[in-house]
Formats: sequence, structure tokens, C-alpha cells
Amino acid sequence: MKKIIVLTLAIVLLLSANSFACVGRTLIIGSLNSSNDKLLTQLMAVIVTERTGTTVEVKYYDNHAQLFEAIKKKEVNILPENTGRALKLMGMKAGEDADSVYSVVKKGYKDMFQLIMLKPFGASVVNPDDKLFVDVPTVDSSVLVNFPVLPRVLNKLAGIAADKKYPKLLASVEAGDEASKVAKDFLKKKRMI
Amino acid sequence: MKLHLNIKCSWIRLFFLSTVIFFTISAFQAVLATELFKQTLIKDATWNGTIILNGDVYVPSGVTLTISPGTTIKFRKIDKNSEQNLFSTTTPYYHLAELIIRGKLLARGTADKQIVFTSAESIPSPADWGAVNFLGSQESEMEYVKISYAYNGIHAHGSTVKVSNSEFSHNGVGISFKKETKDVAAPWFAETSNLMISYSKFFKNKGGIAFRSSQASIHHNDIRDNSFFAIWPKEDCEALVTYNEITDNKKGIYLYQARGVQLEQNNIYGNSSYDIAVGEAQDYPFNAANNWFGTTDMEKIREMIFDKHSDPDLVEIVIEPFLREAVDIGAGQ
Repeated sequence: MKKIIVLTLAIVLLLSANSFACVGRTLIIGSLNSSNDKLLTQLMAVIVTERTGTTVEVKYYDNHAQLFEAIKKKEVNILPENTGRALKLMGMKAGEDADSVYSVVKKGYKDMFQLIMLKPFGASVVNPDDKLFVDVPTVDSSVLVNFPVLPRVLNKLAGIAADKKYPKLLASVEAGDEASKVAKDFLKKKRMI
Repeated sequence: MKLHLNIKCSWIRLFFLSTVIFFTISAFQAVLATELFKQTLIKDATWNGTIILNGDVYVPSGVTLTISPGTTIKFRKIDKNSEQNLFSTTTPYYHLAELIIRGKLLARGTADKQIVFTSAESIPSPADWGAVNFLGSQESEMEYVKISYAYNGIHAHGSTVKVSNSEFSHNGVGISFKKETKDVAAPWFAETSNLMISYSKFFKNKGGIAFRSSQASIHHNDIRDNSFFAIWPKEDCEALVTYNEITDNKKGIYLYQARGVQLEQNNIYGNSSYDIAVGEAQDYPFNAANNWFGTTDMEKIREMIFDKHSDPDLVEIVIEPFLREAVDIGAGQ
């Protein structure tokens, strides 16, 4: 049974920075329920909101199939994707290293689903012994028309999962701290927002 | 003991009496209120008393709507399925009830008898109604008005509006005006707006004043406690922002490709995130010299500015020379 928890980030700001439409547009980030996915999602939500003024909502899904179904229905615009999960979804075989897996998956997602994979967050901490897969901010290409600065903003999170403080942040979320607050405090301290 | 009981009884009587009076007055007002459904005014009109709008009201070109001091206008919360929208439910219109001014609006209250625009809901919330929506309106005026619980309190395209001595609270954005590039088969959509906003208060909105590619004169306003920004200029403007108190907002001034904004002689301090912050796409350096930032400590001032000193990819906000003492702004009087 699909369980969707909708969290409105911080405030429901009613403007879209890019369109500045009279009634603002909203970006939806879809995420799995794991602590790592929650943290990556909130890092994206916070940086997009703070640096573009765009309203961001977060929807959580129980499994990857449900999340991907929402992507196909255009109910979700952005997700933190893992190259291992992506590889499995497309029925492809793993390459020899993380870079080659990323390249294969990036091309596959663009060709098959019109999803753009941006610069990776870094190695997945969920599988610390498996350096083959990385987490990647992934955007539905159709939203880039109205939000052209999105890649620029999200690429600022490149390598963030390799930050020496990241495991501590993750432990904090696993201990029950609110992921949005953890993400916000971290980005603020780094003067990224 | 007896005296104590007497005093207690008196308070109970007073409370009971007050409650009865309150509900009687409320019921009386409800009976006297004028209920309007979607409509176009075909000739000049004057509103007074309590007006309840159940849908869009359109003031076409050549028609003037005058609102008398002390008038209260309440908007019911509707949706796009209500069939109470006169036009489209997308930009530049709202799916919510709105007052659309293509002609002229003269809403001149007084210090004692303000004109109130608010929600008709028993538990009001921001965006219960759309906006006082100026579309190609010239020489409209609003003074001593209180606007609350709108999506945008005032919204404008290609219009000239003077706003003074007014209050904006609990709206999405207090005042939002812009020039769009898209053509929606209406010349005013892509024309510059010119808003003069003075001696007004903006508080507990999500944003105070936002404008894009427009002319603006924003002075002697008190803009505080707005949950995202106080003032958000965007793109190519011709704006003078001066003698404003900008404090206790999340971001004081938020910049998005902003040019042509003269920002000086303001008190910009104590905002929770930043006093001035550039958005991702700000490609032009911004001059914010000659403002008071709440301190003369350069390091502390810099801490509250988000620009290339925080992220080398961003442009610089020039803050020197900064004022060494607060400006006497006489705001919101």
C-alpha cells in the first residue's frame, strides 16, 4: 500500500524564482524512506529553496517501484537516485568501476526516461564496502524549461556524501533528528545557503 | 467571603454580557452584509459597509470603483470548480476570488476608518483569496487599507498604483508586481508597472514586496517578521528603496538578476538568515552602500550578507561605505 507523506519544506513560499508566475510553481522531490535518502532529499530541498526561492515539497515512498511510478506520472520532478538501483531497474550489468556505472546509467536514464543525472553526491554510505555505486541528484528534463538554474544549484552538492561530517549527519537522522533541520544546519555552517 | 463572591459574580455577568453583545453584533453585521457573486461592474460604483465576495468582481476599463472609509470587504474561499471565476484560473488570474481592476480603484480610508480586505473564512489562512489584481489600471490609489489572508495582497501588471499608510499581513506576498514577457493577448501583461509604496507595514506575510522588471518607489515602510523575504527585486528595474525598516525577516533583501535598484538609507538588520542575499542566478554586482546594518563591525555585517564572500560563484554585494548609525525613517505612520 502506497504511503505518501507530504512534507512542505519550511514555509510554503508562493513564488517560483524562475517563472515568478502570479501563482508560483512547486517542485516535488520524491524519496525513499531510508535515512540516507531522506538526508540527501532534504539537502536538495533546502538548497533549492534557499538559493532560488522556489517552493519545494517532499514526498516519501515505501519502495523504488512506487517512486519510479510517480516519476513516470510526472508527480515527482527530482529524486536522489542510486546508480545500483538504476542499474537494476534497467536490467543492465554493472561496469568495472563507479565512473563507468555512472556513465552507463546516466545515458540509460536520459534515453529511456528523459531523466537527467547531475554530478553525484558521492559514494553510497548505505553500502560502504561497495564502492561501485553512488547516489546522484536526478531531474526530470521537462522541469528544466521552467527551472534552468536547477542543475547549477544541485551540482553544488556534488561530493557532499564524501564530506567527513556526512556520517555524523546520517547518524543524527537515524537517531530521530529531523532531516530538514540537519540538512539546513549543515549547509548553513558551510555557507552554502 | 461574601464580597469575594460578589466580585466573582460581577465578572461572570460581565463576561456573559460581552459574549451576548459580541454575537449580537456579529449576527447584525452578517445580516447587513452585501453578498456579491461573480460580476462585471458596468458603471462607476461606490462600496460601503460590509461586502462579501463569493467570486471575482471585475472593474473594466473606464469604470471607477470607489470604496468608502470603514468598508470591510471579505472574500470567500472558492476553487476553480466553483464557476465563480470570471476569466482564466491561471496567470495573471487566480483560481481564488479576486477583485480585478482594469479601470480604476480608489480605496481611500482614514486613520480612524481603515478599509479592510480580508478572508470571509471563520478560520482564515493565507491564500484564502487571490488579490486586488491591477491589470493595466492607471492612477489607482489605496491608502489606509488593511489587506490580509490573500495569495498576493496587491498584484499588478502594467499598472500605476499608489499605496500608502496601509498594512499587509498573513498574505503569501504583501505586494507583487511585474512585467511579463509572454503575450496573453493583453497589452498590459507585458508592460511595466509603477508602484509607489510608502508609510506602510508588512508583517507576518511569507514575503513583503516582490517586483520584476518594474518601476518602484518604496520608502518609509516597516517590513518585519515575514517568513521568507522583506523585499525581492528581480531583473531589470527602475526602483528607489529608501528609508525603510527591514528587520526580523528571514532574508531582508533577496536578489534575483536584479539591476537598477537604488537601495540606500535603510535600516537592514536583525534578519534571521541574511540581511541581503543573492539568489543563484544573480549575475550583476549589487550596490548596497549607505545603509545601516545594525552594527559598525565589518565582520558582523559580512556574516549577514550572502554573496561571493560565501560562494565564489556568486557576485559581490557592495556594502561600503555603510552608515554608522540608524536612519530615522518614521515608518508606517
